[in-house]
Parts: sequence; structure tokens; C-alpha cells
Amino acid sequence: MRSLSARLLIALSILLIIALTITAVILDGVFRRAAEDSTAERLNTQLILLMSSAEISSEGLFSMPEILPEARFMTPGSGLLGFVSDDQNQIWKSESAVGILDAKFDNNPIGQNAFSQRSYGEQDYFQQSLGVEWEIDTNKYQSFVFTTAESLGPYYSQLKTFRTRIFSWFAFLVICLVAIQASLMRWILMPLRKIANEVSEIDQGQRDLLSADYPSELQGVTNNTNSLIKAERSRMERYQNTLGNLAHSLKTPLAVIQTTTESKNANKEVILNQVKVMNDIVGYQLKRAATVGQVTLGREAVNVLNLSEDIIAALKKVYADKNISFENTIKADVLFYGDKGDLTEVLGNLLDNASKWSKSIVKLSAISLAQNEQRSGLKIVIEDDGKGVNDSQKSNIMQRGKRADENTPGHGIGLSVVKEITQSYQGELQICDSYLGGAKFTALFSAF
Amino acid sequence: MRMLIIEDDQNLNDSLSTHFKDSGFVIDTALDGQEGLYLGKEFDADIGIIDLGLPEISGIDVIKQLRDAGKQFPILILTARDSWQDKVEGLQAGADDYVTKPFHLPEVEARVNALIRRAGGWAQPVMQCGPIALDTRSETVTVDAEAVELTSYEYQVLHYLMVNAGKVISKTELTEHLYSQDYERDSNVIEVFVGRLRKKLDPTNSVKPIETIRGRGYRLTLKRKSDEEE
Repeated sequence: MRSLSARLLIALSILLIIALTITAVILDGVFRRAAEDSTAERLNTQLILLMSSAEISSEGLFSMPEILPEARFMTPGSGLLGFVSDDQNQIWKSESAVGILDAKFDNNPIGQNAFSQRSYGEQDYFQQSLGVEWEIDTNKYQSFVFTTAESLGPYYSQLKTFRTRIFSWFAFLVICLVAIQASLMRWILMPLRKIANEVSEIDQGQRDLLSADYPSELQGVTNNTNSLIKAERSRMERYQNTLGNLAHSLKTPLAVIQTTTESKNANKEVILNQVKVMNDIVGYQLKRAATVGQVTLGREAVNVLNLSEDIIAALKKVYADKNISFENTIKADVLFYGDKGDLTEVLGNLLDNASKWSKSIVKLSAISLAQNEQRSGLKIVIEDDGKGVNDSQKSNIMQRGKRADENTPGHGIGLSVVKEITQSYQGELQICDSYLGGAKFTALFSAF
Repeated sequence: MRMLIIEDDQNLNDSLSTHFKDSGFVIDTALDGQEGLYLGKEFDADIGIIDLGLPEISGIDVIKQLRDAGKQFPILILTARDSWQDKVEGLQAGADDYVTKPFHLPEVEARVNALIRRAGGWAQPVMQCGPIALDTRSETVTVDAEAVELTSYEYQVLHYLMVNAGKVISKTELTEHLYSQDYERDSNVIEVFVGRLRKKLDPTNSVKPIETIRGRGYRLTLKRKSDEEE
């Protein structure tokens, strides 16, 4: 029972069979009832016929004519029987009742019908009796019981035919419905099969992402799967690029160190410089690779105020000597939909920079950018009252794809990482002059 | 000054210990969190250098437990992972500053000196009490702006007294914070150093910077010069 369609099919088939069985039982009951009613009606008619044929003399002698209006009374084995009894004995029976001694019946009250099922010989009969009282002379009454009975043979065969038909029709119906169900199930579950196929295609590299035309119930799953795949792919790319860049950019300082150590007057200063360069490269590349980017699946939104307060508390310790006053105007409901580590990195680097260059004031603000119903983007502004960034530095910082080994140590790496992170959230890092006199950094993250 | 170093890399631990021993520090050193925590609780350190990635007990937990145990000495964390999340976590746990690996020893020393000074309530790198000024960056001492030549031990004694200016420091405390256990703890040696310091700082015996409080120890009595007066 590992397949969903098998489970559904079995459950629905059992339900179907139960429902159809109950229907068949009810129909069978209704049919029998109708057959009995019509038989009773017929027997009643025959009874009245018998009574109308019967004659009673004024002495009270009962007689029945030889020829009766219903031929079946006169034909042995016709299945239609007639009996008449007086108070004590059976006084007449039809010719058809050959071999049957007495009719069995309850003593009917006068004027009362009694319908019952009886056995005569080896045959079952429906039987109708009626008690009557006839005035044979003035104030002289005689009571009789008239009885007619009809063989159950035709009824049985009718019932059998009915049951056979109903069984075969219902069996046919069950087979049809189950078949329809099975194909419906296939049709309904087709998108799931499609997902499985597409995933294995992605696995084999024949496809980039899951297609977009899934039923609305599955859109959530497929969209999230797609964003996972995208994130995984960009992470892979980042790791590959990182490794490539690392290998490439580490070789130059290594070569310098090698040649320096091989030369007779090995210069310690040169080696130390190269070690620093290598350290910067490793730091920058690894930080870049560690950027998580826009995967928020299963992640809580980050409260920007709380995180910034934590970082400010930490920086207050680090810059205890400077006595910086941090003006944080972030509201408590500003949220960041992304990785906490990424935001920590952005805030940490920007606030650290601002603290480093400021005289005494660092201002921090952040607002949500409404872009989308569920998630909003984020704009963070950090300014200081330091000496600011001159234009050539600005363009340096903003230069795209600048590699760590080209960056000036101690200044650019943090900002390059911030820039990388904002870009991985389809945002950007802007730099301009603050009215406080120093630099004003604006980090934008877009919603997605 | 007594320093607690907890760093699991033997080479790094050795180079830190050697460097700070040469600078006149008394060093307690541990290679894992467990031992480090014990040393930190047992001895009264003036400064701790703690690596974040430690075996047994993580650096963060060591810092938390030291703070929980009421240890207030400043702590400098060493971190190999240069992420802000680590730094913030470490500083939140109770550390006071961080240095990322690899580092330059002079930078670590500058941070260490700044932390010790700050822990003593000094906001500026030059501590000044009356006419005596001690520059922690250049490790030089001036009296009335004239340089005074001090030996390493004399400098350490003065440094300790100035960081704790106004407080009574017992001879035992001075010994514990200025001499490693392998040195003989002879209070006479301290008396000798204090005596020489007094002569060098106050040759005319007019300022009387270091007061002897009988049965209790020494106190730097000169008033601290705050930032505004500078």
C-alpha cells in the first residue's frame, strides 16, 4: 500500500461495493413486496369470482358449478387452487387441487381477509382466505371460508430473474466505476508524476527548473522547490567561483613568497606583506561564499531593531574609548526576510565602519519597503559624522567585481562583502555624503 | 599584570605566552576550555585572551561561566571565523573586544593594554596622576613631562598601581600579579622595587606618590587627571 492511487482506489472500491450491495438488498425487498401485493390482489379477484359462482340452496346446501369462469381452477397442476369450508369441514375444492386434502387456514373472522404463505405437497403457495356469512333463509345464516391459493413457482422464477439481472448490472456498474476511478486517479495524480519526472530530469541535467503550469494546490510546493534549486545552484556557483578565485588569487602571493625565499637575501618584510595579502584574500572570498542569500524557506523573519541593538552593544565595547552616541531610529516592527547571518554581516560591517570613522555620532535607520503582500524589502541607512569618503574612494568602493587581492587592505573588504550580500538579495549598496559630515551608506534589499 | 591565555593551538599559545611574558606579564595558559575555566576561576587575572573555538568547553561558554562566577577582568576574544555573528555573540557573552586570526602581536598587545586601562577606569591611553604620566602605548613614564627611565619590573609595578590608582594594593596582590609562580615570592623584593620607584619618580621626596599603609599594602595617592582637565 505504498502508492497513493492504490490506497484511494481500494478505499473507493470498498465504499462503492458496500453502497451497491445495500442498494441491491433494498431493491430486492421492494421487488418482493410489490410481487406479493400484486399476487394478493389477484387472489382476491379469484376469491370474489369463486364466491360469485357459488350457490347455496335455501336448505343450506352448498354447490359450485362444474364450469367455472376461471379455467385454471379446473386444470390440475395449473397452480391456482380454490377451497371452500363451512363451520366444520371443507366442503369444496377445485379440480386443480388434485392430491391436496384440506386447505390450511386460520379461522377467519367474518369479512376478514387473510394473506399467507403455505406449503401444499412440495409446493409453496400464496394464499388468500375470506370468511363470509350468507343469509340462506330469513334470519338463517351460514358461514363459509373461501380460500384461493397460487403457486409460488412463477414468483420464484421472477425473483430469480430479477436478482440475476440486478447482480449482473451492478457488477458491471462496479467494474465501470472502478475503471473510471482508476483513470480519474491517474489524471488527478498526473502532476505528481510530472514532478517526479521533472525532478529526475533536473537530476540528469536535462532541465533547469520545474515547469510553471502546475495546479494551484501544487504551486506552493513547486515554487518553493524551484527557489531551493535556484538557491542551491547559486550557492554551488558561489562556492565554485570562490574556489576558483581563491586558487587563482593565492598563487600570486605564493609565487612571490617562493621567489623571495629562494633569493639569497630573503626579505622578511616582503613575505609578511604577502601573508597579509593572502589573509585578506581568504577572508574576503570565504565571507562572500558564506553569504546565504535569498533563501527564507523555513526561516523566521529577523527583527532588525533587536539585531542592530545587539551589534551596537557589541560595538560600544569595542569603541569604548570613543564614546560614540548611536542614534538608532529603527521601529520594532521592521523585519528582514532573509538570513540572519547576512544581515548581521551587513549591519556589523557598516556600523563598524561608521564607528571607526565617526567623531562621536553614528545614525542608524531602517524602513520596510512594501513590495509584495507577504514579504517586504528593507532599506538600511547608516551615517556618521566623520570625515566622509572622497569621490575617488566612492567609485572604488562601488566598482563592480573588484577582487580582494586588488582591494586596499583594511578598508574595502567589509564593504565589498556588504555589496555582495545586498546584490544576492537583488539589492544594492549606495554611498553618498551625510548631512552629519561623514559618509552615508544605504543598503537595499528587495523582497522576492 | 596577570594574563589568562586559553588557546588550543600549541604554537599560537606559545607565541602569545612568550610575547606577553617578554612584555612583563604573568601568564596562566590553558589549551582547552575546561582547564582555562579552572585557571580563570582560581586565579585573579587582570586580562584574558580566549579563543572562541576551544575543545571541551567552547570559548563563548568559558566567557559566560567566568562572568557568572563574578569574574570581571576584561576579555579579548580570538576568532578565526571573521563573521560578525561570531563577534557579536562573543561580545554579548561578556567579552570586551575581539581580534581576528591571523593577527599581529603588537595589535593584540595594544588591545590588551587598552582593555586593562579601561578596566581601571582610564579612558585615554595616557594615564596621568598628578605630575606622573604613563603612556601605555609607548610604555614610557614622564614626571612633569620629563622622561623617567624605569626597568621593566619597575614599570610593571607603577602600571599596576596606576591602573588601580586610589585603591590599596597588598604586597601579595602585587606579587601575584607581577611575578610568575616560579619566582620566589619574597615581599622584600616588592619593597625594594617600590623603594626604587619612589626615588625615580620623586627624587626630592616632595610629591610622595606611593603611600605605604601599614599591614595592608600600597596606594597611589595622587589624584587621577580626568579627560576634561587634559
